[in-house]
Amino acid sequence: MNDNNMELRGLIDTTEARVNITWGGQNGDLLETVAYDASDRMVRQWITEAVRHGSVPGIALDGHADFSEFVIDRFAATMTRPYNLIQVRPKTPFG
Amino acid sequence: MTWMDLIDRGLWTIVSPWVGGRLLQQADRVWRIAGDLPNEAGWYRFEIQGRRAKLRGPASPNSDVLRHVRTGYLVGDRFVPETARVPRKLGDIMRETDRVHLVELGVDRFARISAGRTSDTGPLIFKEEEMPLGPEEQVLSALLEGQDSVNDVADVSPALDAAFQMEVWRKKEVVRRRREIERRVQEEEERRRKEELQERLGSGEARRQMARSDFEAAARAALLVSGAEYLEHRPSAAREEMIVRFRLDRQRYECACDRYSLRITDAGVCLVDHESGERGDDRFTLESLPGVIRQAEREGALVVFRHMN
Repeated sequence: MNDNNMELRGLIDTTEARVNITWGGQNGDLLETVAYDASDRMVRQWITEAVRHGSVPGIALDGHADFSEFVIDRFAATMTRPYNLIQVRPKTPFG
Repeated sequence: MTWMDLIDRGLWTIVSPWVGGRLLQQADRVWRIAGDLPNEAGWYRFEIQGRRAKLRGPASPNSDVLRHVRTGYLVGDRFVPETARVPRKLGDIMRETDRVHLVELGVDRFARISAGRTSDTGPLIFKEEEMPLGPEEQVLSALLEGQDSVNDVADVSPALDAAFQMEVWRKKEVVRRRREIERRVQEEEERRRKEELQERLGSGEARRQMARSDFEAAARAALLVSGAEYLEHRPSAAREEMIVRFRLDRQRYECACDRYSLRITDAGVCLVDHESGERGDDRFTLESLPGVIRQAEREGALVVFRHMN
């Protein structure tokens, strides 16, 4: 973590995170923030429900959405992104 | 004609301090002020008509009306009487002081003054500055030099010591309040900055709406989500496709994406499944591509197709 991030630690609610999802080349955010330390299993469950119900703005409803093989990256808040981010994206060919 | 006749005919006036309210009191006599009240606290002349007093106008101070006159030290608008004891804590000092009204302008800190009241229960009114006892000047120097005690100054009375401690407390309180205000301003600025940034970054959907009118702003915000820095863009030969250059972890990359959905059309790095030969580029968007590149870099699997020099 760089110096800027260290400075922000005291200023940002470190317990919450926004969830950004990439699904089928579309991108959107969960409407609600989640606990930054929520387990991968919980995050997968929330986003699967959200995409299957069409409640993620920017991602079309997909009743068969399956995130079981997706990668979940976690990024702590920075000076330029003042909130924690959980990013969900497809797996790459290399892992 | 007796003085009682003069009072009855309203020919009698008095000079009195006034610090608020409609009651005037001198010794055991009380009058109610009828009509206008003074605009500010001060010394005024009032016309007396029976039990009523009417404002006539400002007057010079008349200390003859002050009773129960005491001497002491002035700290702000508090009067520390010379009978004050050596204080153990600030609360003790405050209990031994009274607010003093109508202090002359220009009276310095640790000035020895006298003050009195027009009645037993009336407010304490400034009378005049008294001759100092000696150590006042040195006590003022100690304060200005930032000392916390006057133990080194000779002949300091308990009252002067109490006044000094009050001034030290006031000085510290001013610094504390200033820091508190600065902290609040800083917090407010930080909150505003965060709101502006969040507004600028927007949501995935907002970025796509933005892309319709301002591709650069949308691409910049999308890349920033995962920590990449937008550098430039240009239209591609393909319809509705943009070539975007960005910086990630001090390296420059280039990719192509759909100008409206920000969906990657050419990642600029190898995302081909070598077993099936399938390209994975269009599974990603400008928001998620930097994460993929970081993973490839971390795993030593990064192959860059679009070189930037």
